[in-house]
Amino acid sequence: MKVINSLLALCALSVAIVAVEATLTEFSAPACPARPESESPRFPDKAWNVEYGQAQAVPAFARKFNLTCTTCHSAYPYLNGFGRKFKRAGYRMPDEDGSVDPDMQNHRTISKNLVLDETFPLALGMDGDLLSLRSGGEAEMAPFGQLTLIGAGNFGTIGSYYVNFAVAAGEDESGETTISGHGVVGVHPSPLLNVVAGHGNIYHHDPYNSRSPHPIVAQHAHVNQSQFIQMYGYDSGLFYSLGATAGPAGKLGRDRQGYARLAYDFTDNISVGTFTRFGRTAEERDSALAHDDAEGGHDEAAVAGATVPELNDLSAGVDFNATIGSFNTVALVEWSSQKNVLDSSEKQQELVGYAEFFYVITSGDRPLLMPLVRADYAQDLELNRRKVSVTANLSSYILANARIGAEVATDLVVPAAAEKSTRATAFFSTYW
Amino acid sequence: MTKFFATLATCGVMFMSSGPSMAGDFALNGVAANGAKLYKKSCATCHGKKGNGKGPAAIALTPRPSDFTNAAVMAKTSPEGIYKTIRDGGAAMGKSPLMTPWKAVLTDQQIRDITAVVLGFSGMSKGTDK
Repeated sequence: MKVINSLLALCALSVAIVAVEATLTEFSAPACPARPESESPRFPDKAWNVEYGQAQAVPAFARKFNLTCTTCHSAYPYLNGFGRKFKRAGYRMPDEDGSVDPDMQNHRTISKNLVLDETFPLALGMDGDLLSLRSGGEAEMAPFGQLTLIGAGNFGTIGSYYVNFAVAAGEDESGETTISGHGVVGVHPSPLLNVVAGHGNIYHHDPYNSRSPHPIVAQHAHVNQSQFIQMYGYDSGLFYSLGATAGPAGKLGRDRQGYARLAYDFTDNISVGTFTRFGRTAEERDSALAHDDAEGGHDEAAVAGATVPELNDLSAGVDFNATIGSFNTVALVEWSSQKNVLDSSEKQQELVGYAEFFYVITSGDRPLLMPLVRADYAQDLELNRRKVSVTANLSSYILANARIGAEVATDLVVPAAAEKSTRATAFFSTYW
Repeated sequence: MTKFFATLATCGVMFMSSGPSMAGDFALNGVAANGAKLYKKSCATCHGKKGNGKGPAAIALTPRPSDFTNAAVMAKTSPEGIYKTIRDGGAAMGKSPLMTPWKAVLTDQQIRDITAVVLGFSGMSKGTDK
């Protein structure tokens, strides 16, 4: 039976990889919300929000080791100290000293060079908004928001993989269903040296929650996907990562950036970090001058007519993650600058950040209630425009892997030309 | 009559020497040597390779995993209790629900072998190997 499971897993993984590859070539990624052109006409939609990696619970891991979700998640998808160790180790069970003991892994040795997971390595997630109300707008329902198929686990004794295939309803400008995906493979010869490469967000392998969005707060998220290769390691509380990314070539050029991150864990649950990203960006997919058209392809006329050349992009920031008892804090501040390569007087500087606080009330083997408050801040330093919003969120985990809740978010400060907005959402999320 | 008392005394000695594993009608029939690898694979993540409750995942668990080397902790349980806790999970035994049931993952004999390993950490394993 286990052999059949392993073969099925291998087949499913192959299909998923092929499907993701096909998807990446056939479909455009969901468009990020574009900044109104009037605010900053010469620069792409950079932010007003922090860029995140994608965070999801992967129940396949809990099944693989017969552990509860709370072993790795204080309340999914937030990783606790042990969850970060597991992720750093390449989805392998770390030993007490952080090394990886093959005898502690739930692997099956098929042959000398073929070692696979014992259990079926697939998980399925579904997220949706039961009801969403926005000031000045009509009520919307999207109970089917996103369906996500996740394949993740190990191959060999030092290899890891993560494949994510998502079908999202109405996230692009046309309101049509979009399909997206990303895949990452890694090798993990030692805690000090791990290499991951693939297509996805560069923060995908960042183990700290400050770079991973809360599913509902993910509505604020700015998620870019690109090709990347990254090395990272950990020793004596110090985490480092160093990577390079390149986006797809387009009429405006190609993203070519490097990025780095340092973090220090004072304890398993308290850490501070710093990060930077530097290089050239074209931001074609997000550019206000080069929107995707309704068919999902690029608006060639807009791109051909664009006058914005590549930009020198530089960002840096600090972040903080802490869990003390049931109280959790996540905070991040990032400064970014973009300059016209041909004319450095044309520039844009921004400061973005957020602070998030949540408390986890547990019952048995699951979180029961999780009240959360969050404040977001963004400032255009060139035009001195500010945006401040606050979010209150209350989740109930009706099962260890299913959560319902409600959220209210409102703008306190907005740029002069914009209107304040308030949004109320009832949502659910489940991963199996 | 003398023969009867001699037989009774012999049974009594056998019962005492077999330790807790033979309490009541429960016979463990576990072999620690067979369970050592399974223990590392299934239990050491929380309970630690040395059984001291300080496995790598222990930092995330409240209450903390049981320390099998603590005589006071182990005195409160029995081989049957340990066997049932592994088989049915902590919640079924009035213990931490974070201890998941293993009966769907391991065979009954494997659970017995792991129980023998757990008893070994506390020195309660005498007489459990067969």
